[in-house]
Parts: sequence; C-alpha cells; structure tokens
Amino acid sequence: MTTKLKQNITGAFKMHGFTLRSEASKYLVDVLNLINEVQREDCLDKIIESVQKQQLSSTLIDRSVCEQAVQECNTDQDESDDVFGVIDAFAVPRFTYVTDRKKFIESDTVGIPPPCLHGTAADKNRLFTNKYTMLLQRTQRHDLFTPPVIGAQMDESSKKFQLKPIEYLLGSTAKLGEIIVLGMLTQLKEGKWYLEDPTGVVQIDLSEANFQNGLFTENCFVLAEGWYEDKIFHINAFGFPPPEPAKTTRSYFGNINFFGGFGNQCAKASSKLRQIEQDNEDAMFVFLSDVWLDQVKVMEKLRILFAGYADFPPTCFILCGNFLSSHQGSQHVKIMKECFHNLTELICEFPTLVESSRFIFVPGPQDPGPMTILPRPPIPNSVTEDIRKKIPSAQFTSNPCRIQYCTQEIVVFREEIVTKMCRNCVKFPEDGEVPSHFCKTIVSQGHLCPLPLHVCPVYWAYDAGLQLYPLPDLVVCADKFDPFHTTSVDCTVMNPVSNYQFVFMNCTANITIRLSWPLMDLAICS
Amino acid sequence: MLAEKALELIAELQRTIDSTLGPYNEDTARHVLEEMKALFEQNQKDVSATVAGENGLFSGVQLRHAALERNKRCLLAYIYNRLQHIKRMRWEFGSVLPSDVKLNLGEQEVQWFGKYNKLLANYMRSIGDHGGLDLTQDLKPPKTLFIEVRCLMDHGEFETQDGNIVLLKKNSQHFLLRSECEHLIRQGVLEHIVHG
Repeated sequence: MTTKLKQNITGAFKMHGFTLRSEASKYLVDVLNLINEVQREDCLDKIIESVQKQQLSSTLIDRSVCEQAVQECNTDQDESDDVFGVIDAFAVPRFTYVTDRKKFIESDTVGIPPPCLHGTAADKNRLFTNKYTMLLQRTQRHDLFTPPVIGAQMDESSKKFQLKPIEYLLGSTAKLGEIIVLGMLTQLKEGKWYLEDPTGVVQIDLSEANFQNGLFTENCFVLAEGWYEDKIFHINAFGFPPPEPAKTTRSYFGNINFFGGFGNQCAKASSKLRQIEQDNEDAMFVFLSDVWLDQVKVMEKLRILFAGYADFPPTCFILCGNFLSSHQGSQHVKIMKECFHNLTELICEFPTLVESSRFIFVPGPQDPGPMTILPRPPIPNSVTEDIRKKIPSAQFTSNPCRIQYCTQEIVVFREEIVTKMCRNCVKFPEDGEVPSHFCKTIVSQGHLCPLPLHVCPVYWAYDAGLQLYPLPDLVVCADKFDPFHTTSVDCTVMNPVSNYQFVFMNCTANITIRLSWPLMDLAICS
Repeated sequence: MLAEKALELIAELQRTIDSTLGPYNEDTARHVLEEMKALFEQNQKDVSATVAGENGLFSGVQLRHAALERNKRCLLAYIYNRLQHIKRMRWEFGSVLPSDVKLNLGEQEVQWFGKYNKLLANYMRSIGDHGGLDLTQDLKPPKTLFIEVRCLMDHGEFETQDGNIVLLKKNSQHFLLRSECEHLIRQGVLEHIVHG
C-alpha cells in the first residue's frame, strides 16, 4: 500500500521533471496517507503545482520545499492572511536594476551582500547609483527620450531629446548647446552648485535657470537643460525626471513584488484580492498623528473617537508618534509605559474594536529608540509588552512602514519632511503651494526623502525601505505641516496632521475625506 | 530605413542561435511596435483621403504596407524562434532552468515555459502504464539498461524506484538503472564510467 503510494508520488514528480529526496518522499507519503484515495490525485497535483511556483535552484526536491508546498495548499482555502499586511522598512525586498538585462533582479541574486545596519562604503555607493539607474531607465523610457520612430511624421509637438552623460560635456572643448543631462544636484564647494552622475561632475550656473514645479533640494536628481562652455554648464531650465504611473512600470517588469509582503507576485495581480476588496466596500482606515498620550484632553478625545467607531469597527487604526508631548528625560520610557497602559485600558473598554480592528503604531522622531536615522526601528518591545499582550491585533512597526490592504499599497511616513525639504531648497517656490510641489518632488524622485545624508541620515543598506518605485496608491506623510491631500499619476500623497484632525479613508474608491472631529476643540496647540 | 529595427532583432537571434538564449530585447520589440503603429496611422489617413477622391497616394500606402508586413513577420519570427529554443531547453535541462538562463527570459516567456511544462507533464502521465512514461529520458536509444557510475561529490541518500536506498558518497561506485541516474549525471553529481 505504502510502497505503491510512494511509487505513485515519485512517478508523478518525475513526470514534472523533479526528483524527490528520500526524506521528502517519506514526508509526502505520510501526508497523503491521511487523505482518502479519491482526493489523493488532486492533492498531489496541487502540491506539485505549488512546488513549481517556488523559486527552485535544482530539480532535486527536499523536505523543506515539500513542507512549504503542503502548507500553502492547506492555507489555500482561507486567504485571510494575505488581505492585510504590515511590512517593516527593514524587511522590504531589495532590487537592483541590471542594465544588461533591463530588469530588476533581487539584490541577493546579483551578489550584493545582505544588508547590515552600519553598511560598508560600497553600500553608500549603491545608495546613490541605485537611485540614478532607476531614474535613468524610467526617463529613457519616457516618450520625450525614446529614439524617434522611423516613418512617423515629425511635427513640433513630438520633438525628441537625447540624454547625455556628464562625461560628454567634460570631453568637449567647443561650445555645446541644447544639452539635457540627468544628474544629482550637489554642493561640492560652499556656495557652488554641481551636477553629478556616475561618469563625472560638472559645475553649473543657476543664474538664468528657469525652475519648474517642485522643491529642488540638494542631492535630488534633476533633468537640466542648457548650454556648456568653459567647464561651466549654464542651465536654462530645471525639471524633475518625469514620473511614471505604477501601471506602466508593471507593464515593463511584470508582476514582481516590489512592495514586499506575501508571495512572489504583487498583490495587484491577484483577482481574488480584488474581489475581496470589492466585497468590502466599507473598509476604513483611520490615520491619527501626534497622539500625545500624556495629555488628558487627547485621551478624552480618543475615548469619543473609539466610542463613535465601536459600532462600526474600521479595518485599521494607524497611530503615529510622537506618543508623548515633550521629551521627559530619563523618565521618558517609564511615562510612556504608563501612557500605553492607559491606552490599553481605554481600548479594552470597546471589545468590538479589540476584536475586529487592528492597531498599528508608527514611531515618531522623539519616541524611544535610535532617533534621527531612517528607517527607524519600532518602539522597543519592553515598552510595549503590556499593550501587545492585551490587544493581540496591536502591531508596532518601523518608520516608514508599508501597509498592504487587498490590492492597495500604502506607505506611512512620520517625519517633519516637508519642513526639512523647504529649508534645504535651492530655490523656494514663489507661489507658495508647497503641498503640490512636495507631492511632485517625491513622486518624481521615487524616494521618500530626497535630502542630503547630513540633513536626513539614512541607514545606507536599508535605503530600499524609503523607495517609492513602482508608486504606491497612497503615501501618508505625517508632518507638523498644514494638512494637505494631492494626487499625481495615480498616487495620492496626504498629510493627516493638524492638531487632532484626523483622516478617514475609504480604501476601495481610494477616496480620502477629511473630517475635523466635531467635538474636538482646537484649544491645545503644539 | 523602414523595418531596420526589426531586422536588428533577427540578426540578434541569428547570433545566439547555437549558444545560450540571449536576453529578451523588450526595448527594440516595443520600438518596432511603435513604428508599426505610426505606419498604420499614416496608411489609415492616406486611405481615407483616397476614398475621399485624392489621387497619387496609392504607391505610398503600398510601400508602408509592405514595411508593416515585414515588421510583423520579423517580430513573429523572433518570438517563435525563442519559444522553440525554450522548448528545447525543457528537454535538455528539465523543468527547472538554470538561474542565469531564466533571467534572460521575458515575463511572458517564463509563463509560457510554466504552461508548456505542465502540458508535457500531464501528457507524459496520461500515456504508458504505472503512472506514465517519461519521454525526456533516453533521447537517444540506450545501449544498456544498467550503467556503472562514480560519485563526484557527496550527495546524501538516493532512493531508487524499487525502494532501495543508495548512499552516494564521494568516490564511491554504483551500478544503477540508467533511467534513474541520468539526471544526476547531467547535474554533474555522478560520472559515467566507460570501460575500454
């Protein structure tokens, strides 16, 4: 009986071109013995199918692969786990663009060592080159820069440009006109601006530059148009590399899971998840920022908020730091523990919320832990033990963090980034519409934090956690700045904060509605 | 020149025909499609002008149409020959492609490979008795059923179809069914000892 089953199994695997190791076939025999004979064939087919989906390096199948496959088949029926996921910035998959193959390939496969907190010089190098290659391939694919199509009629509107490397400028002695360069804006010497790309550096003259929309900060990548003479590149116009909708990116690179979370396929490709999303039209997300738990008034308002939602528990509450109103010195951790304890008791008064909502905590700049360097790890477990025990759905995550709900991709970032970028601008926009400029900047940079490392330090090897490529559906930048909400190329950027205002979001339609809670007075100002 | 880019694809195909599969040239393929779109639009315009009564546009339309057809043929040839190559690799390497080859495939080609794999496996299971017949084995008629092999590396336990377990240790020699150890020889675990 068993031997026949065994033969059956090895035979089936062999037909698919796999060989089982003896311990793997033993395991499968054990598993399939539990199933009655009629269903056995189907089960075996399913297992083989899920084995094929895994990333295999050889045709030899060992036990761990089989175990994973069987597990996948068992969980197939209830995909509830895949519906909602929180992805830590340190667990985001890392991809490298390989120019020869014109593909994004996982960094481990290319031979880049696994990331470590205090990276090597090579990691710092990669931080810049990765950004550059990503933007370069995106720009070259844009209509303006693709080579002209033969046979098409040329007209003025479809004028084509060609990107030149900086090398090309440095190598010429004559005057060059109408040149377009993609490079990084740097200040190598005090007060003098330079444009840098992997092939070289050139000094630029900004006196006649015409700035397009956006916040042009140091270390951001720009498309510069102008003329070159005597080792100085005179800029006529300054713009950002054109952004690309996530759909276009996916049409080129397939359904690779850039975002992180479950499986090798990105959530957008799953029709099952889309169906779940459409069936749950009332799914809600509540974003709160600067939740100062040590303020009595805040706790009172939270009580009103929770009471209001108790009958219709939202999918998720996202609470961003700082969780204390001011820094309490050596007492900070102790006070915070007490505050979290109070919060736990408050939430536990509403059992419906504990049962059906999730609570996600994103640390702010002043919360305990390593401070100013991004990505920032979650609040230490010792502080949050109590709340995690009593509210099982509470999750403490890093800053920034990514949230996947069905097919929606959300990035949450708690940092005074708008202010910092305004302060480090080459030229502050005159019209003062900062939100739209800011949105345009991060969308076209494909990065949450286009600032020099001395202004906004980043763990070099973990920079992938800050990248926005392909663009997510929603970026929440919790900032002290006035609340805003803008959309460009299918990506919504918003800021929920302004003293106890909060944002309610309906995920399916991707509509954000801003409410100022009617009972909240705005007496407390920061 | 019209249809020049499409010819580039064919030239690329020709260069790699006997060696490993080159990376899928998505950029050029898309460029050819763009060119075809432009040609088609101009043809549409000219044809509607001719219908409206204008003369002398006909030869232009015909030239563009010829270019369109040629582009289409080149693209199809490119894709078809690559698929043939991938199919051949299924028979050579088995169902798991080496990672460097796999990275050269386009997204759709990977999908196609998976589907072909499944089809082939289902067919092989449906023919013959005792759970199918492996057609990928013995691509050439074998001389003997059993062969003598030597292990080149430690491979651990190996289970033969009749249930015996053979320990494959480095430098040990075994007398095994050819059909069972053939894939191990291909992977470089075993070496066929040829006497004489």
